[in-house]
Amino acid sequence: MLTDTKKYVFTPQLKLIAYVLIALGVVGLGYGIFAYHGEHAHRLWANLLLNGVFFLGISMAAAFFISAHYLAWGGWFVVVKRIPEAIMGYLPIGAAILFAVLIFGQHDLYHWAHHGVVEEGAADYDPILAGKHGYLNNIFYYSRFILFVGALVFLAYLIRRNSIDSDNGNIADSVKFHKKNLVLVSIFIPIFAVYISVSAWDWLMSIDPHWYSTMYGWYVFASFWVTGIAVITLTTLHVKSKGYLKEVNVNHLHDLGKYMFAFSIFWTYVTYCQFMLIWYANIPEETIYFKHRFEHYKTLFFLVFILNFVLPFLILMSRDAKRNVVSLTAAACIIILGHFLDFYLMIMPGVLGDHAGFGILEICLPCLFIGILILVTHTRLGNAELINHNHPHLEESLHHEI
Amino acid sequence: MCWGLFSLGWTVWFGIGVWGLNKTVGWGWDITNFVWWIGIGHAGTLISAILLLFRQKWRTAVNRAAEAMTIFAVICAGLFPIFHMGRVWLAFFTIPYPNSRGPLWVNFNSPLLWDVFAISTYFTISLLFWYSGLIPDVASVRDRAKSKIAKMVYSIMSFGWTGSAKHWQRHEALSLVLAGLSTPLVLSVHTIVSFDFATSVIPGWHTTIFPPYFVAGAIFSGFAMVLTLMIITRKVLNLQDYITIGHIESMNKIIVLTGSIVGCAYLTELFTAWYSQNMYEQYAFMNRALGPYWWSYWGMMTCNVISPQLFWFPKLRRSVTFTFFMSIVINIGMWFERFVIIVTSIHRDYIPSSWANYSPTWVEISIYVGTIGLFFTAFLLFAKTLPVIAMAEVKAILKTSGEAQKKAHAASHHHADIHTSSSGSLHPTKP
Repeated sequence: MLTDTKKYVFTPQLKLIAYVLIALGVVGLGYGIFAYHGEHAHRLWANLLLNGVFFLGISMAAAFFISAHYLAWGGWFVVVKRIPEAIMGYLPIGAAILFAVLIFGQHDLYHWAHHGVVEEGAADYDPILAGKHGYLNNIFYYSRFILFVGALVFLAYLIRRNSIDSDNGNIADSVKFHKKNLVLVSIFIPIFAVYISVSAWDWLMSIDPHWYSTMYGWYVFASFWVTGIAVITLTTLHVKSKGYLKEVNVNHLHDLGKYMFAFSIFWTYVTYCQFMLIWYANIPEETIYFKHRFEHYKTLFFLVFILNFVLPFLILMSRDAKRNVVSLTAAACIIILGHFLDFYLMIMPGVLGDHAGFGILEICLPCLFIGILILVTHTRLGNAELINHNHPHLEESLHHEI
Repeated sequence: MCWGLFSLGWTVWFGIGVWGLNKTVGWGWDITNFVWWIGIGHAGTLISAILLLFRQKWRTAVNRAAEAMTIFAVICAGLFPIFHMGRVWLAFFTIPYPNSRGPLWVNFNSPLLWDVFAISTYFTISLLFWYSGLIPDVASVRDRAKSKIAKMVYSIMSFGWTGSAKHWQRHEALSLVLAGLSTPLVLSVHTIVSFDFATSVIPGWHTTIFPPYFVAGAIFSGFAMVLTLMIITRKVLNLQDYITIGHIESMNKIIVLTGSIVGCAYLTELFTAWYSQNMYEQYAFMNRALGPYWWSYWGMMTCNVISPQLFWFPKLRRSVTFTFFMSIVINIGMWFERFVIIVTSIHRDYIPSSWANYSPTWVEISIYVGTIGLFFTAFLLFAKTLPVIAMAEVKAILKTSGEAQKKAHAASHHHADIHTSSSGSLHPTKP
């Protein structure tokens, strides 16, 4: 049984931090618009794409977290489930931002979107890209986005609504809402499974339009997923540190830690396999991707490997570390930073060649998105009870012990 | 099995020329069967190790039989590459050791050699895992054995187990270590099998998605074979109370999950072949779907991707007859998958003058049938002589998951309410 159902209050201090971050980000964005225009606009758009994709991916991962646990009849996650539900709130905003970036930045980001490449006889005609025109054309490209992202956002909205509604009635009614959500998540998961690959091709792989790798979709998914879990963990720890969520004990944290540990290894597995197979077969069309990154971004290339594999692996290896606030916080921060840099490596070399850098824009722009994410998440946390107290699996979660 | 043994002898005596392989299609049924059996051999360790990590208690109903199945499947798989070597008596050349053959060392750059290491390690750990789990149960059998000979044999096999606290403590520690070791092994074995293909430059073989997709496919086929075997076993040995419809349903859920992952991978490959605008890739996939072996491609698609989707319906998921039927369909589909990958990718060589077709000879068919015989013989011997259900492990979860216990618990619910809240770790201050 739940003992205390204190409502979450979004403290003015945290709100202030969020606003400061947003202000900082707006300044960075303004600087970017001012400094990188005309032929230098590539850099501005590349950064907007990076942040747009990265943060939308986090909220998609949060929605997937909810769906996967529902579908698998998970019990332990009930006490933390309002956290990913709150992060899901960023979905419609993130989708709108990314859609705008893909429309207005298309010319600067994607070579395939240039008119000449598919017109026979034009100066920059490219027979390979002309062959891909059936997939990489504006109508199909944008309608995919609207259709799939629209469906995911809508389903996530319904799942959240049912979850909140279930708190307002008695337990018998809540089973009805639970069953409704089971149906919704079983629609969500197949759409997500298909779109996670398609979105990786559309948003990221087509930046290097000649290059292809079948693993790419799952590789991007691994990055999204482990980052999403790190954000969920971090938010949970923060909320808990303010005196809420007493029901979330070390056993639940242990599970989140296990996820971060396991999926950091999974990310390494898919990344390594993709790299190794391309390196081993040594086919020029494929090796070009890594050759470029290896020659001009060597430090970053290895740094990503250290941040995303070596450190989380060593930090989270022991049982005690997965039950300790300090080590969990450290690992989550490292994972978020590492995967941000991983996405940086996916995008920048393709758009900017070897001219990418770390300046005011690169540092300030993520602040804008972090600020929005904090604002949305914590507002949503305050809008509903922190624990879905009518969830049928609540007791299992309260007595969770490993 | 005897016929298969005879055919193996025939192969050794006359050389692998008696198989249907030719210069273009150098891998045919042999490697298809090898990958098929290795895939089947994945379920056991997955159930024991990974489901243990995910705290899936239902695994205890089938883990023992699945582990045994793993071992027999790996034995069947191992036969194929060994006999494909031709001079099978020189098979030990694959082991790297300082030798008198001059500078003739194994090629450490070859994924085929990695396979030797991966599979032999997997086999060893799986065997140890299976046997160490058996020891307490063998001891129970020993204590109940009636004939003198049986008592003696079982007592040797149980290593003098007495069930003392010290024994249990060591047993638990060993199980944990072996579970930790075998978790990465489950992934590594099929990853390395996929490297056999993916490190090459053959269109249809060289694709980066192969490692995770092979692993998912292996789990998929492994669970199908577990279902095939367990549905028969539970019927014959009357184990309906131990292997319930709930267990079958859980396994069917894993089948629909892994089947869909495999389906996503098929479609990704197909899309990327077109998207690559690489004419060799495109041709390889056109040829799969519409070439001379089109039936195997569509057989694979139907059996592996489309038909498992029927398990979204709870009614079908909970039907034993339908599950048995589906498990056979999936076994066939996964065999087709390997045949598609291997034969259709290589039968159209880069130069049209080297194009060739392949069909197996009676020797290859007999060896394959022989391995199926070997597999079932071994499994039946196991079911006859050893406990097919992990008794000690089932006993351990009976208190928390047994129906009778749950009912008893529900009856005394009023007391239990106070009891759990005070004994739970949430409110340690309450008395």
